Amino acid sequence: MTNRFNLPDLGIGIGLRTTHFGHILAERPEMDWFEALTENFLDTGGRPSWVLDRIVERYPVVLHGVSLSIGSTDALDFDYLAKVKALATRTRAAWVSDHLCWTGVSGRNTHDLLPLPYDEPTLRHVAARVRQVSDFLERPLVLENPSSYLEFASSSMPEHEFLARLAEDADCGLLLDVNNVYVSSYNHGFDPAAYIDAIPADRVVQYHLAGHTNNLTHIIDTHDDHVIDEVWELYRRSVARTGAVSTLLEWDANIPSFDVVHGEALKALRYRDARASEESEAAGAR
Amino acid sequence: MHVERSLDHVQRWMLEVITSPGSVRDGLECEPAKREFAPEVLPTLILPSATLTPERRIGIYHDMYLSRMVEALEFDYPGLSHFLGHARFHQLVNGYVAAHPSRSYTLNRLGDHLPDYIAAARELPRRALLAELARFELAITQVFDARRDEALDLAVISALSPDAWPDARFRTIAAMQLLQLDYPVDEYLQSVKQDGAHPSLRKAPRFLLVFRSDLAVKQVTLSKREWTMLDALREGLTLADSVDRLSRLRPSLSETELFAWFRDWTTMGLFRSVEVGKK
Repeated sequence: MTNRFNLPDLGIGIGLRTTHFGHILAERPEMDWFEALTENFLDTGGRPSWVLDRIVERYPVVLHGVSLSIGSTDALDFDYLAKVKALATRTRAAWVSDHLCWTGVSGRNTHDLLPLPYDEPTLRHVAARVRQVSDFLERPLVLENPSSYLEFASSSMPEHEFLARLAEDADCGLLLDVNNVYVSSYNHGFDPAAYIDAIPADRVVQYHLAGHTNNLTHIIDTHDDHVIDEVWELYRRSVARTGAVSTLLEWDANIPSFDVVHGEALKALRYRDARASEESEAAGAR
Repeated sequence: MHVERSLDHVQRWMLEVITSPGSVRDGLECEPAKREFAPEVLPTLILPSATLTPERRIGIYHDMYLSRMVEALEFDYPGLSHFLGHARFHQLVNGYVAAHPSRSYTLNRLGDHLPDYIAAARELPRRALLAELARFELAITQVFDARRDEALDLAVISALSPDAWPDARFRTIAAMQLLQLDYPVDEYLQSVKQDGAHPSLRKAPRFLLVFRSDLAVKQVTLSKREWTMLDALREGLTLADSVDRLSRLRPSLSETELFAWFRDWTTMGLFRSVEVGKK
């Protein structure tokens, strides 16, 4: 299956982090693609900007933001969006993503991915803003399901339903973070497999994988460790529905060497390849 | 509209709770939060989980907020956080972000008001020194991120006719700052980064140039005369006016010295253009 936006399967990528800049520039590792954190490159004319320019000469890049605040009741920041659009053009970004969340209100930014109540008014509010952003960027916005640590009593539908309806109503792509599904399922007590099964497969244009920290009473999405088996299993389950989709490993704290991060990301191949083999066998049988 | 106002209420309330200094209970009971929702309605806003109460659940966001602010400012102000130690730096940040919360899409600008905040913090011991250290560290991050300019080639300056020099204006690059400091905070920061012995932090006036070259931020200690001349050029004065400003300082400037400065400054890539002719 291909996604409905015909966005390419870039293969297996990792998040571009400062600590790996030297290695990437010096060693030019074999790598399918990188995801760059949008805000890290918007207002700098220094080394990060120069490094990014070198990287896009050699690798496909996707922009992933954390400050769009698509769910906020503050007005959209079109100055920010203009910079995102310019950066996307400069880097020839395959797509631009951010999160289903809000990060602040009243002009203040918490720099956190804060949860939304999943109800009809919020759905209409967010869908209208997603359409505005997609129109402005002249490309479909791609939204990621967040990790969350609380649920609003006013929610009238599960997150996966909100996400699926939002994708339909606003005609946006989805970045399915399988680790986030697992984290939130642990924190809120829902079935992660049911969540995965409810996501419209043809809207998934990217996967995220990451490690987390289990505090027993709750899990925090720390991106500081290897991906656990349960998350790989959810990834396998989802890939069986979507087919091979661009997949990226995030590692943001206690970051090990480039090779360790890349090696962890490449574990995804076994699930993608298994899916490809199944498709091939099915085609042969026909 | 009632609908969005409701979401707006929830967001304003949650923002106040999680960014409130002190505990999450303090946040729930702070006046701005109570203007949106009374603390006792918390269970009607947030569901408990199997293991956590609503207060503990929103407390996760509250605790992570300050940790994130501290982490961001520790990164930008390593000398200041080292000097104060984690607990006192944490306390400083707690007050600072309450007074100057982030209003940007980037955390890179979170610390822009920190030097002024410290300068006004009467309860802080050695605040003049700390404010200066913060000003120096802020200059480093600003120079790191400043716009990239193409540096003027030495050949362009060498080709200027002697008649053109007096009225020439040398435009400096964006990635450059000049600091006049009372304390050796540059040496202190270097000792922190190298994990070495710290210098004495007694008053020792210095004139610093912080600039970016080959993508790296560098610093050079200048004489007061060289600093004054470069500062005048940075302000946009003509060469003649800049030299005039220097006339108050001794020894008087020789042509040889002036050319040596220009050679050094151009080699460092401090100029982006030169405008010739009266304006």
